[in-house]
Amino acid sequence: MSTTHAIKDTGAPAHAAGRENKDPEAIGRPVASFGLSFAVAVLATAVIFAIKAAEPELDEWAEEAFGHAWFYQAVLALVLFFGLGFIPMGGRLGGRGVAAIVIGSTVASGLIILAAAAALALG
Amino acid sequence: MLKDLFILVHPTLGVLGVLAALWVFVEALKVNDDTLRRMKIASVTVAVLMLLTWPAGGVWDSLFYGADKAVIEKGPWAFLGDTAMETKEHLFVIVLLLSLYLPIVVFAGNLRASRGARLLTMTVAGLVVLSGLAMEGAGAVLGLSVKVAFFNLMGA
Ligand code: HEM
Repeated sequence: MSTTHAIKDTGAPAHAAGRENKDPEAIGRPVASFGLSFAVAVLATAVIFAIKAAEPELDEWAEEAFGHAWFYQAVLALVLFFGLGFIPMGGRLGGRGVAAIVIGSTVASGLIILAAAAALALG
Repeated sequence: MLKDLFILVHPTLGVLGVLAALWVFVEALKVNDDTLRRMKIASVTVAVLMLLTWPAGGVWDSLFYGADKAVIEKGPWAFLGDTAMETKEHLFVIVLLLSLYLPIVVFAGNLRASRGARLLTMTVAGLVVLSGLAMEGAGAVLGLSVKVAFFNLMGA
């Protein structure tokens, strides 16, 4: 706990501290923050798509208001990714933790997207 | 003709992005000054290629896909084709964000010292490869849905 976490919790990359960070789990703080913002952005994308699939009127309204889904869904996700990514968070997470969050959110949102797409295609 | 050329552009950019991500994955197996320098180049390449794939595929979607969709919906693969297109439009968001996250991990991730950061790099690069291949597969299903519909309409 003590030494390892003391280094890891700074969340700063080695060169920022002017020394080599030897902690095998330490990652830079932006890496943790953007890992978490990635998870929020892709899950939000999947959930919004699932809601649109359940409520086709909402889908039509969104297309009229914001343009085609390939465009506005990605713009929304980019805003979330960069907007949240610059907020320092996840300082206690190591590389393994962030990797688990990235894998989990990718698989979960991928499955939600596939199910919503199939539901929409069934009409 | 120009329209036909256009359909080839976005899968080409996407596949090159997938290959660049595979390059990052392989370099991350053993990190030293040389591999780190190459990983930086490759990870930025992934981000740029996927950023270009986005409008290249999207513009085709907005301008030309309507006619193909009408054909697909007359064929026996209507369900598969529609599912593939809806999946592509939304799954690409994941591919795009992973591709933009990859250079952040490579540049800011303390890769020389941190095993965890190396694992994360390989995870993100590997997911770009897998999700990019899923986009490729969905594209192939789309293309086949059009072909099968035409065969059907011609009574073949
Ligand atoms: C990693 C990224 C991508 C890859 C590898 C990829 C791959 C492919 C492939 C192989 C095809 C079949 C082409 C053919 O029939 O000859 C295709 C079709 C298509 N893709 Fe993509 N794609 C990607 C991203 C996108 C994006 C972001 C969009 C925008 C929403 C998009 C929209 C389309 C459309 C509309 C078609 C159907 C063309 C048609 O037959 O009418 N793709 N894609």
